[in-house]
Amino acid sequence: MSERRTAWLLTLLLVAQIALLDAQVPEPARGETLLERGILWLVAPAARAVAAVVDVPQGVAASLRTRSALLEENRELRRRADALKLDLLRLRNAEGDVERLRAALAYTPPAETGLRVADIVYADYSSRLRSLVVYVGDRGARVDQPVVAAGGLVGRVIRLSGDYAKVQLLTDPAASAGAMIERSRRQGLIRGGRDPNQLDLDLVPLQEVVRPGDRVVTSGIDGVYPRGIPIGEVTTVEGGDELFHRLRVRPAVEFGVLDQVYLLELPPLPPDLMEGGGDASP
Amino acid sequence: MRLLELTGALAAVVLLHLVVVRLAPGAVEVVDVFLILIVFNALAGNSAAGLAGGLAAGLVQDALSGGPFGLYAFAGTILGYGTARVAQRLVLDNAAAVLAVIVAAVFLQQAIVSALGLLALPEGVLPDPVAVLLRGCASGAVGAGLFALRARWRGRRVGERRRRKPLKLE
Repeated sequence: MSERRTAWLLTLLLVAQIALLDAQVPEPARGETLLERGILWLVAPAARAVAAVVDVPQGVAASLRTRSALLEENRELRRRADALKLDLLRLRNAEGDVERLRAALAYTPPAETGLRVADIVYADYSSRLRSLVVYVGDRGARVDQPVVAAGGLVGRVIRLSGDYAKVQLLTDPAASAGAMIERSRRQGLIRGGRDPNQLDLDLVPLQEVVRPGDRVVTSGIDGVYPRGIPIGEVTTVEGGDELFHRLRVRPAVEFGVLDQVYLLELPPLPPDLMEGGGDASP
Repeated sequence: MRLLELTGALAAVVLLHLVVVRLAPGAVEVVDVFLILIVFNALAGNSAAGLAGGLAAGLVQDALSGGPFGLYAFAGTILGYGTARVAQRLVLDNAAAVLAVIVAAVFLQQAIVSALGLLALPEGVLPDPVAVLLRGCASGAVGAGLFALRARWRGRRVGERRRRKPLKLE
């Protein structure tokens, strides 16, 4: 190889090695080096000039596009606002009707339920018994207090220890709750199973039409959970035995991503009413 | 040095480096065996071979040193090429000359690495001058000693060949 070619090769190799070195400086720790500063000092004015020339037509086109998009969005929002106003009017009328009917029937709804947030400090989703330990603080909790998350029902408090409460998840094989299919109001019993991502809905008669996708909510008849808390969605409908469907339900709550839950603050049912038998006299 | 020789020598140097790191980690800071190899490879005066040897040894040294990859390769490339160019102009056939070349090469290497560190890295650090001096002297001494040994071994081989094959007199 001639000396001239070798000199060119040397130059090429040195430039490549500088590029290699520069590429290795990790981004987070990257400070401005003297080399970078020098190159920037040389290149920056040219880059600014090029950017200025290129940006002008692009900016004009972008602003034209933005204006038409904003006008369209504005029209759409106005349409939706009008529709929402109509919905609000309808709901106000319906609310008035409900109040009047309540008054006419002397109906007293269950006490209002409050929510209290509790942090999860330990979670066991994978073992056979699925449970959470939550911090409840000085206010404590009570056994059988319902626990929910933004998506729906989580479970109930089963044990208390100081400022902590143990929550049995609905997916625990030993857990069960009164449930109903929201569309038909047909009641059944939801239970945890072997699969932590599936629930079983039992005691729904075969003559009841159940479809995959039907929403399942609490029925409010078990004395623990109030009515209407989302439980999940029917995924499979099988024939089951002679009387009842075998229904699989996907839980509404994704238990694996929970970091906080809510304790439902509602007065417990009197224990004497919960016991079987008893005296029918007042 | 031919390609096969260079590869073998590089492998031997890597092995030596690994052994020394294991037995006396501080010794690799004092004697730079990779640089000695670069200088020895370039002493023949072939600038392309010197450049290639410097690059290869530098890359291996980079891989073993744990610093940014390419720092020693950059210096090695320049040193290999530069030493070969010097060898084209000067006669470097004795241990003293090799000692001087290696000492100069160590200083130049440290200067290149430090300058590159200051320029291309966010936090470049200047080396301790005493440590550089010690490194230069120690590497030069080892290099000169090896050169003298090699020269003696080559001289002995040539002598043996002459004894085995007597010259044919016409």
